[in-house]
Amino acid sequence: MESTEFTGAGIVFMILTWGSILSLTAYCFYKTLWEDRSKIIGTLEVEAEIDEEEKYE
Amino acid sequence: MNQNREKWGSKIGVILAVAGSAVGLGNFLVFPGRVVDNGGGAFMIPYLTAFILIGIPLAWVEWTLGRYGGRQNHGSGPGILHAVIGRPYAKYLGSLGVMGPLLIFFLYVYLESWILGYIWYSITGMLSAAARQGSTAEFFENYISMKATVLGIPAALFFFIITFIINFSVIYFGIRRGIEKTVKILMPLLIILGIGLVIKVLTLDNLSRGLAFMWNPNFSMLLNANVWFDATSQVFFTTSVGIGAILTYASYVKKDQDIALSSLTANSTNIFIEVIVGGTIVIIPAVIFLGAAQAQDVTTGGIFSLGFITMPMLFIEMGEITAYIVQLTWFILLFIGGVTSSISILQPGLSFIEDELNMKRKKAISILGAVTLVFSLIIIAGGTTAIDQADILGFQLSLLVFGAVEAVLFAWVLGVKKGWKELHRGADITVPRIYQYIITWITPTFILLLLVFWLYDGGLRQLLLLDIGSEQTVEVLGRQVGEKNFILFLRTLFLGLFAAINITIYRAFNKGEA
Repeated sequence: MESTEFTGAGIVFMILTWGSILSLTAYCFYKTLWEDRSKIIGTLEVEAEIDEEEKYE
Repeated sequence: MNQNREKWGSKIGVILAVAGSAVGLGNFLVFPGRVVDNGGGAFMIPYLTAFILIGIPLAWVEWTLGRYGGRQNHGSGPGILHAVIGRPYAKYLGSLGVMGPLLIFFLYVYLESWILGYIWYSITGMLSAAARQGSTAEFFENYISMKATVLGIPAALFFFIITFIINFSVIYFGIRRGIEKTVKILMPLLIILGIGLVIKVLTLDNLSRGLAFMWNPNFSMLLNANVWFDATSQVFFTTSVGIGAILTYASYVKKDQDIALSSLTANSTNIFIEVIVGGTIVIIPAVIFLGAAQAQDVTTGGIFSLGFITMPMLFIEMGEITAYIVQLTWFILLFIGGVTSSISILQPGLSFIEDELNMKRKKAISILGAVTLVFSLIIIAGGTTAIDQADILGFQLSLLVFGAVEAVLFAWVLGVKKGWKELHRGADITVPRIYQYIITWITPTFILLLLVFWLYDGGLRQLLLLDIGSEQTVEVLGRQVGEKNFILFLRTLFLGLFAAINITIYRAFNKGEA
């Protein structure tokens, strides 16, 4: 493959690909952290409780 | 059966663990070459198509099967498939979910140890010195042929032992205190280091040449079936499905904890690292410093050559201090990717011993440690030939077969309706209904086609050793032996291990231990 000028098509591909991947990743993490907070699964308090339980096992 | 199975402490923990399992050497050393070879930016069309039709749904399948099996206190392929399908043959099919990751680990831990060695050589400046002299190939050859030493013993062996201990130290502490704590530190670090390298690359002179090489689309390549095969196989291998690691990790998820969103998050993290980090930090510097033609040669010339020989020489072009930092960052990045993957592929074997044989972790780790140490040393002694065999049988064949087994069992034996309900138990998102059809028809068909294509495209020839002449020899422990005989010897050992796993399954399930 010859190296050429970075074409308009190349710019579009890169922006679309980066944009969709970044958007999907950001959405997923945002939703995960939001759901975690609201369901109280994976919070520090829950981890501390599990640590406490395991101490006595 | 192990009644006191651990659970992940947090959703982020299991997501980072699965993402860590997926992110590995392939993200940085295989993906760039595939893009370059298959039409640049246009490759992203089949790649993203395959991600949507295979990567995402198959990950959902594996997470679902895993969590379901975990509810019945099973954490590896045999027990999980037995719990899900309930037919006598299921547990033996599941044995691939133990054998496959073991085969991969035997070779992967050794490759990972090379990276640790190169971290050391980066810190001491020895690698930079070799790069300045243009002798990185010789440097690499000295390392893997055991000529380079540390404290009087071959460096390759020295760093292998340390890497082996690191892996077992992590899994010794279990899912929460071991794996989860480790990935919660390492994965954010990997992402930060990766973004740092991306920013550095994006500030290089002549950046547009590198971006053009990577992203300018060559649409004519899309008419080539090989491009679609390469994209599908890259997505399949990058998402870590078919190994059994996700199956095992998901078995430690609480029964009503979301897996739909978790799976998607882990998948998207992996793709982010592959496309944005992997797709930037290798090809662009290669084009800028070597030119387009040579960049194409090196990115497609093999992962060892690219990672250990070419990249150090590229870094030197950035100036002495920058090269030192970038080179060290590169190898730390690779090592983190390697460790988070290797601990995930150890876990199915450990879970199998703990859950199906009802063994305490200490004893289970001793057995697993002994088996993996012996076979890893055999791989080391066998050199490239042994590495190739573990790669073909573990990384390629076993993955494809087990991936196909999972997809077919989920879609056509268990049934998508049942699986769909299980997937949505506790789900934080609603999976689009169209995925019912995709999981039923498209995903299993694609994977079966991938398996057939792999066999047709050279896989069968490799399995039957058709390209190895009877007069060809390899060096093993300083002696020349017939290559075919050595491979058959290796395969006999692997088959013996596979048989032992299946005999163990038979005894465990018939004695009611499982």
